[in-house]
Amino acid sequence: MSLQLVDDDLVGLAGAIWSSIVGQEAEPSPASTADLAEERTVTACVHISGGWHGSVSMVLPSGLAEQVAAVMYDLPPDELSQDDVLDAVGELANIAGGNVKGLIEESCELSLPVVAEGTSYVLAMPGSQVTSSVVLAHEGRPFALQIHERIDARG
Amino acid sequence: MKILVTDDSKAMRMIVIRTMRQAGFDGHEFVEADNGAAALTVILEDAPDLVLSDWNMPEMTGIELKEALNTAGITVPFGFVTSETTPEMRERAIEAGALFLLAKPFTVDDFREVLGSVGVG
Repeated sequence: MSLQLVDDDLVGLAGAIWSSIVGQEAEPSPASTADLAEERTVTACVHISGGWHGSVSMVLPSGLAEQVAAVMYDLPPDELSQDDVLDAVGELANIAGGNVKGLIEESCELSLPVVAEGTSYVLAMPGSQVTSSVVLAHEGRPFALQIHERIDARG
Repeated sequence: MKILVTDDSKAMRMIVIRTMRQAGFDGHEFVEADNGAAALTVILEDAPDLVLSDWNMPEMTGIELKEALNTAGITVPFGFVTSETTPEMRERAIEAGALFLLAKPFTVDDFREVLGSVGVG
């Protein structure tokens, strides 16, 4: 099956996660994912397999990731380890992935999150293509939520 | 009341505990575990009065934890706090004896409502 999800759904999901977890609003941004790739970022990804095959990824600039993690842990950013920050962004992707999985009628499994941080890296998912991608901003700092569908696994 | 919060994300455990306190459950003692197997150990050693558990975790998932408790005859009140809330999972959770399945992202009111509905105060 294909996942019936429009960009507005993703914006709503990202906004709900942000307001619940971060406690603040995130608004749609005119920035693109290419803009994000120009700086150091944290990317967290979860995979969905079963009736639908694909992945859900969240990309945050490292500075924003640290800011969000500080809110989640209720600690100053300088008291957080890199593991704390990666854990926090991984959980955001996990929540997004779990909610996307909930939109799939067939039975599926959700993986644990995989998280990477760095500059100028490529997130490769062979056989997949980005089918939905939205960029929102928190206090003017953009972050992205994307759906990658395994085209070669379409039934 | 001693409440065990089980989630493989340390950040999420902190958010669950903070949200519980914001929802008015601030007079309780919170203990933590980062997977189902660790939670089982805590339950056997510390006998919490309520277990809040994520579903998808390494080592032992939340539903495997609940089923292990059932097998051992341990009837501690148990609820899921998870990003995955498909009808299939909700059915499996209730069949296993879970009191509720609360979806992430959640609000303070969600916690107040679901815990109030099962008599936790």
